Amino acid sequence: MWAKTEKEKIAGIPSARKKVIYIWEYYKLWIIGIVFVLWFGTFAYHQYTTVLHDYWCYMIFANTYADLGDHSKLWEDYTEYAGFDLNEKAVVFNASSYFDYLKGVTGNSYFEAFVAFADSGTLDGITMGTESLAALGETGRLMDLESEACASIAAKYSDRFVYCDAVREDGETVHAAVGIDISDSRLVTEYEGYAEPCALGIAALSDNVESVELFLDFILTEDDSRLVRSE
Amino acid sequence: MESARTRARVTTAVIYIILIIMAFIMLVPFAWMILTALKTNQEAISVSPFYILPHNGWHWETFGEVWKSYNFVLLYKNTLLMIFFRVVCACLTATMAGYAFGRLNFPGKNFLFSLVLIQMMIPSTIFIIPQYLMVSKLGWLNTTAGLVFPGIVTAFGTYLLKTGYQGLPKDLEEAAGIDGCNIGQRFLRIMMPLTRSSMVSLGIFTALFAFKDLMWPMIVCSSVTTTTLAAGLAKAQGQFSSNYPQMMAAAVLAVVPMIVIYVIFQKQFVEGIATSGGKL
Repeated sequence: MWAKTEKEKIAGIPSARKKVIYIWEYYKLWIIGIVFVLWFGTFAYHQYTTVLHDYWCYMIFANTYADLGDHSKLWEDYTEYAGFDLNEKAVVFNASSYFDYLKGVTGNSYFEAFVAFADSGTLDGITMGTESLAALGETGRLMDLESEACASIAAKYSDRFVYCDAVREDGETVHAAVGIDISDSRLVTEYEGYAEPCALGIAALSDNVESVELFLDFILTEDDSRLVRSE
Repeated sequence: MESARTRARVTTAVIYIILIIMAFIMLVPFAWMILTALKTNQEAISVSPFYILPHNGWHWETFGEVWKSYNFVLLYKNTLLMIFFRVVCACLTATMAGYAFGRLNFPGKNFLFSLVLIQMMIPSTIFIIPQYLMVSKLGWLNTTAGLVFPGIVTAFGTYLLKTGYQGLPKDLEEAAGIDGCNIGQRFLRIMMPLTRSSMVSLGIFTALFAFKDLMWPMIVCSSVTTTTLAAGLAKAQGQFSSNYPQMMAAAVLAVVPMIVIYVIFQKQFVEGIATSGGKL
């Protein structure tokens, strides 16, 4: 009824210019709204379809001010070494994280972020001071490196394991390997990530243990062998 | 008579002096930030109080270097998009929820509103983990939709708008009903336009909180192409950890849009604070 009346009214307007003026005057909010919704729909769809939803490897380098983030030299060297197809999945190096479980994390948003990454299965590995990492292992958010999933890592790096006393759900205290000592690694010597002893832990829900193993190989092996891998 | 006038003048002078000192204290961090951006790194890390002003020339080129190092156009775009959509979503959802809680009667209204109030009492950091899990499952990581997600609904806005609707006279709505308006028309044509000042307040607060939001963009946007100014700046802390002039130049560039917005909407900002009784 309303549409019919409006059509008749517009048809009764003598010139095309006046018709346009009439439509704009009375319906500009609707026109702007529809254009905006269409634009945002297209924009959101394009963004959703072009963004990479999966990760080859998601690492957190906690408590460091060194340039270890995305597109840093470390990131570029590692992605080259691993030979990842970055059009398929992303490699994320997050170097903006500052928390220490030993000193308390109440109200620390970076720790909240770590929990979010770890509990959603996004996080693969984390590096920080050795003692801090051992304390973090007590939360149960780091993988037991003596488990089956880490057999390959254990075979290579068991002499570097960092242990903690974690309390299991049944109340029993277990001595679990939660980190790998990387104090003498290239991460420290070449990329100057840490000044104190540090270690790397693997997130308990990580699906990319192989990528973390590659990272360990990359920072703990000699220069020559690195180049062989990327070829 | 004369002594009373003198006393009044002295009181005024004292008040002015206190206000000038307070204004100076407020401006020092900004001045320090800008001056540090114009110094050399050596001057910036010097603890000598005589190095307040740059001694070896004014290094305006630092701004150019930072502009090149960081894609500020992209950061501005991402930040403005996030602010815009958060404001639109917050105003839309809060005005509808506020109207429902403020003017309508339905079963469980008080219980539902108490849930809204409870949400206001819980620290926002508690929501980070479940919200991240939801955004992650939706596949919205590294998207604008992911950035906007926590701002789609607002408990504070609902409360603010509910109060706004409750303050309007009932006669207006009743008169509209007598004239034949249904509930949607009463809301859209009569009531909503009257709560414009509350919505402006909400928009201002939402925009400010969105601009200052650091943690959420850092969590959901690992990609530099979708991150915001605050998160981009936090990342610069590592990249330019030993170069304080560059860090300060990045900070200056980051606050520019907010200063421009403040200058444009200065009147609305002041009205907004007066309306909501809030602080910035």
